[in-house]
This record gives sequence, C-alpha cells and structure tokens, in this order.
Amino acid sequence: MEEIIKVEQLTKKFKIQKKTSGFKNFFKSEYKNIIAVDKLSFVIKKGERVAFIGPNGAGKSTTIKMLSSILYPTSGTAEVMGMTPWDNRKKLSYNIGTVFGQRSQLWYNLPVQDSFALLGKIYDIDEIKFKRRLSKLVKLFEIRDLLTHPTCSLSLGQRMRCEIVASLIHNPQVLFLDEPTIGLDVTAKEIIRNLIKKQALEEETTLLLTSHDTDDMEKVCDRVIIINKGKLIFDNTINKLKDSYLSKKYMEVTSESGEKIKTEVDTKETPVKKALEELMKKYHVVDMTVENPPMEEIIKEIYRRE
Amino acid sequence: MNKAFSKYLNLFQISFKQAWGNKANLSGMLFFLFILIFIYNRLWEVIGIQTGENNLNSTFIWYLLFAEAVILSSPKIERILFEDIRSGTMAYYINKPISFFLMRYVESLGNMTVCYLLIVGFGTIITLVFTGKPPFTLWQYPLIVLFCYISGTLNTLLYAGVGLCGLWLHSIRTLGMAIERLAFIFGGAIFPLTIYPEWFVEIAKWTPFYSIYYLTIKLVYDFSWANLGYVILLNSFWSLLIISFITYAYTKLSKKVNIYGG
Repeated sequence: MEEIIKVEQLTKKFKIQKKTSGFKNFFKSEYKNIIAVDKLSFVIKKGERVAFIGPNGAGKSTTIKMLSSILYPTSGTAEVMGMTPWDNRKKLSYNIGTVFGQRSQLWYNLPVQDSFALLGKIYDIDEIKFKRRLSKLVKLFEIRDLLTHPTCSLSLGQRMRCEIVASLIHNPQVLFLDEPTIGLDVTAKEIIRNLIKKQALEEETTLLLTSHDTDDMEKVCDRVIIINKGKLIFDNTINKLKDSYLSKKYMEVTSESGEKIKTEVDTKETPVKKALEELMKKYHVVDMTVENPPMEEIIKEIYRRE
Repeated sequence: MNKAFSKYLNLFQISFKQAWGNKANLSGMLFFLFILIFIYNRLWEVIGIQTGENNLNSTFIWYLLFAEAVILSSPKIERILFEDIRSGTMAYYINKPISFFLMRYVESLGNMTVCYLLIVGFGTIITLVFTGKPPFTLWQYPLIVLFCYISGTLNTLLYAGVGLCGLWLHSIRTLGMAIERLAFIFGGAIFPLTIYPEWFVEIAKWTPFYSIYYLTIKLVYDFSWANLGYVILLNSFWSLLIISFITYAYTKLSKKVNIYGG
C-alpha cells in the first residue's frame, strides 16, 4: 500500500519567555526551550485510520499542526502525499482536510451553507461538482436542517458535524482531526465517531485523529500511535493495544440506596457481562458505568513493561 | 472569471452583506455624522460671517464630509489582525488555498464600502441642505467620490500594516493611537492644512497622511487634472511602500507562526 505520510526524526521546540521581575530584568528577556515533539518517526499508509493519542501536552496537536503545514519544525523531515507540508502549504491544502475541535473554520455569523459555499470558492471547486459533493456530505452527516442556521446558533455537536463537512468539501485524501469530540456529550461523541468512520470507509480517506479519549480510537481507528512527552512509545494495531493494555475495565455501579461501588475487571479473565451479573446479584443496581483505564495509566503500563 | 479573483470577490460580497445587515451600527454612524456636520456648519458659518467670506462653510463642510467618509468608514482592521495573530486564529487559516492577509483585507473592504457609500450618500444630502451649492461641479463629484474611496482603501491598508506589527509587539494600542493622531494632524482630517503654518505643512508633506488624506480630500474644493495626477503619483508611491512592508511582515509572520498546545 502507498505510503501517504512519512515522518522522520521530527522535532519541534518552542521558545517560551520566562517571567522575570525587577528593574534589572526590564530590558532583557530570558527564554527557555520546551520540546513539544522529540525525534518522532512513523509511516502511515493510504486508507489507514490512525489514532494519535497521548495525555495533555504530549505533542499530538503540535505534530498534526506540522503535518498539516501550519507549523515549521525545528528539525527532522515529514512528507504528506510526497510533499513537505511547510514548504508546499498551498499545493498540499487542496489534498488535506483539517478539523480542530477547539477552533472553527466556519464563519461565525453566516448561515452554514454560505460558509460551505465560500469554502467551495476558496478551494476552487467547480459549481456543479460543489453541489454534488455538498449534497452527498449533507446526506451522510445528516445536516440538511442545519444549513440555513448561522454557525453561532449551533450546538457543539451540530457544529462539529458541520466542521467535518467543511473539511471534506474539497474531497481531501488525508483528514487530520485534532480532538474532534472534545467537549461533546456521550451521544454526540458516538454520532461523530460513527460518521467519521463511515465517511473514511466510504471514500478511503486516510485519517489521523488525535484525542485523549481512548474510546475515540477504539470506535474509529484501526491503528494507534501513542506519544508521551513528544516521544513515540507505542505504534501498533488497536487490537494489540486492547489485548495488552485495555483489558482492564473500571466499573461503577450505584445501588438503590445510593451507595457507589467501584470495581476493576480484567476482561481476559472475567468478561464484563459476567462481572456485571455478579454485581447485580449482590446489589439492586440502578445505574452503572464501564470505563477504559485513563491514558496516564496505559502509558505507565507501557513504560512498566518496557 | 479568474478563480483567485472570484474567491476574494465572494468574500467581499459576504462582508458587504453582513455590514449592510448591521442596521443599528449604520444608523448610529449616520446620526454621529449628522451631529458633526451640523455643529461644524454652525462653526464655519460664524467664522465666515466674522471674516466676511460667504462660502467658507460650504468649502470646509464638504471637505469635512469626505474626510469623515475616509476616516469613519475605517473598519479597525489593525485590531482584527492583531487579535488573529495573538490568538493564533491566523494559524488555522494558513493551510487553506487563500492568503489570510488578503482575506481579512477584502473582508474589511466590504465593510468599509458599505460605510463609505452610506456616509457619502447621506452626507451629500445633508451637506447640500445645510450649505447649498458644493465647491465642485457635477461631473467632478463621481471622481471625488472614487478617489476618496481609493484613499479609504489605502487607509485600511495602512492600518493593516499596523495590525501586522503584532508580530513584534505585545500590544499595538500605542502604535495605533499614534498613527491615528498623526493622521488627524498631518492628514488634515478635521481642518485642511491651509490653516496651519507653512513649516508644519512642510513636515506633513513627508508623511503618507499628506497625500492619502489631505491631498485627495482637497480635490473637493481644489479640483484640477494636475492635482489629480499628483494625488495618483504620490498615493502610488506610498501604497508601494506600505505593500512592501506588508509583504515583508506577512512573509515573516507565516514562517514564524507559533501555537503551542491544542
């Protein structure tokens, strides 16, 4: 399969000004270097759906920003579809789509359809092709009712669906998604995950998705890259990660008396169903949650086994 | 139509429509203009009576109208660009096949055009009512409107340059204020430079404000082809300088753009 993203020894350092006080320091500034991405190397093939995960400050967003031509690296090389992103911003922009969960690419006061039309012009899409493409995406992401609404009036979940459509309007081959489910409720997260996966499978789009929510990668991706403090610490299939590190589940049940019972289950030994049945026998359960271990714990476990 | 031109034209149309939709803002602006012209008309009438010059208020009020059209229609692009640079918004547009700077500039022009046309349209009616006969002929009017509009676009470009200084400065408030005050003084935004001493005018001539504001707006009461040619020549020179600075700053900026974290 064709290699679509190639990253070698990619490093990004940020120069941050230190806070100083006193008259002496008024005229001179002190800086410190922060290494956000540290000699990162990996390859992504066409059509792969890769989760790029790690805790806050791991360097996920910085890597995505370098690969999507926003940031210049300090050293190292990267190629996206055979192009160095930061040297080919314009050319590459026609082939990649980006979604940044905390930023909007839609015009705040404009109806969503006007933003789409503007993006169509920006990406030089022919009128007929644009209409055909938009109609397909509107159907896929179920946003027909939202088209006439101004972006500012949409809920976060609705806006995110529109943001993804906006990033796909020019039919990119690679889609970078930076925390696309951040701030969404459970239902909205599920909808977004399903839609992203459906679109990627339908159009063979290569996905690189960053998140610190392990559910995002489980539901959408087939491969996972974990980074911590800018360094790569795990690169394998989702199944491998699940078998090795996600077999443990945290269960919490609430009994009728309001008592909360927390328990850890190793799904290799006890399936969730069985564990739940046992809890239900003991307590009159009125509510329950099953969660994956937090990212920090997975990372600790990876380091421990190394 | 050229594709690049078409995308910017689209942006212009959208911002024009949005600005036109902001009725409260536009009404406030026109109300302020009415008050300003009313007060200054009274002032120049009194000075005219005292000095025995009958048409003094007509000359200066028409001058003031076009000066206000250039200044009041300015969309504060420096603040928009500065915020975009400092908040990192610019970074998220940089990987799109459009120049972020031109995008913001064209959006500002759309906004400016609505304000300019309304000020000139409404202002022409009330100034005609207050002062009677204008100091220019009917065929000179569209040329004055056009050249003052070009001045407005240059004014917006100048302030866009101020906004790009956000690359080096933590705040552009002082710089913006300084430019604004200098424009008022050296550009003769309230009073034509003819009322200032000669040495002052000599200094003003070395600034871009002299031709962008004063010389262009002066066409209102001193229209001639020679003056028009001089305005075109000087404004072309200053636009070249401003564009060179903007190109330099923007190229630097797109390489230096830094956003840390998610």
